[in-house]
Amino acid sequence: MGNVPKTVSKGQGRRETPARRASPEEEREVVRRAQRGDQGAYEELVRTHQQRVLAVVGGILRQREDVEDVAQQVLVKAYFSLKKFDQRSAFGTWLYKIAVNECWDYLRRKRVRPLVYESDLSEEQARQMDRWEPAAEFPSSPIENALKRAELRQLLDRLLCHLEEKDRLMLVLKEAEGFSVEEIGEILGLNVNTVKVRLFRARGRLVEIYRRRMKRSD
Amino acid sequence: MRNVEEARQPGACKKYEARLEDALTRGLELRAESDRQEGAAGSEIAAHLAKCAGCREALRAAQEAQALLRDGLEPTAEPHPALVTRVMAGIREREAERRQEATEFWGPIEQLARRLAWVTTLALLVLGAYELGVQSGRSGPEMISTNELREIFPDPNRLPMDQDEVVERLAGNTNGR
Repeated sequence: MGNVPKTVSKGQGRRETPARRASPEEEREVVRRAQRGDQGAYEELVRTHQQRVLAVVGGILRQREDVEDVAQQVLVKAYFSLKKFDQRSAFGTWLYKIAVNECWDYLRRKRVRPLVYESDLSEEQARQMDRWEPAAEFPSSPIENALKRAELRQLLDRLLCHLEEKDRLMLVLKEAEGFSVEEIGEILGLNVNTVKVRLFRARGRLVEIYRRRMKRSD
Repeated sequence: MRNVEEARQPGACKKYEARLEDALTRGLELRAESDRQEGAAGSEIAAHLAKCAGCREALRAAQEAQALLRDGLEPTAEPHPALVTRVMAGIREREAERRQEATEFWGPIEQLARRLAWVTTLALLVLGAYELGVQSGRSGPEMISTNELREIFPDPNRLPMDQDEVVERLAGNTNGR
């Protein structure tokens, strides 16, 4: 891998916050209507939060075809649990927590979490990793660029499997989905400082695995 | 002379980990210029970074990880336009299932309750009829005619003194019959 880029590259994938979102009071009113059984109101909530639910689910299930199915399951489940929601937290936070739990249940049920150890990476994959350079140094051809990116994504997903589930989710939500540390803390039930420390350590571990891998393939 | 902290490697000082993450998020560079812009907290980190090789290395590694993640990770795709429709259809389907489940659960109980009501009504009718039959067959208290009364109490001017006398006279009359 090349040197650390002088300036940190902006995450191309980082999601922007939707242009217009209901104010917290407006949203509480919509939630109250939905709790009274107004399906139109719930549809409104789904429209507002579907993107982030998908981001959370995608953050945990990474590259699985069933991301939308699980997201749908989450949104349906939330509707039937809505009466239990006491509005002490924001609706979004409550919903994303359901999404996190649903995903972990899903993975437990399916036992699909692949525990990949470094030795599981093939020589070819190791070579692909060695070829990775930061975005600025990507070849100009869009096809080549896309291929490199796809390879890198695949390898990164495998590297992330070395991390603890929560750490992996934190990194993905932070770097790919654009969640703030405050939001991540609320979703995972951790205080902000803990999130920051865990994020920082998880980054260190990720690079450590990456460098070890590189050294071995030299 | 090298600072004592300079020798601390590898890993960041626990005290600074959260702040280094902040610095990373804000894109803090290791140069003093940008640190000054971060204010007092930034300056403190900058001062610490200047003397702590462990933290410098940890920050460098974290930056490397950040670059790797931002280049390699892509956000989850936009939701399919039909997702909302599917969710609402899923809700309606589940509601129908729940109604069906409720019918399946309460249906047999309702049927049983109806049957029980019929049987109870029937039993009450039978018992009522039986009770009526028994009562009509049972002899009531024996009635005494006016003539008999005159026999027992022949002198209308002399009424019995008390209840005991009435009973005695009635008993005497019955025995004599």
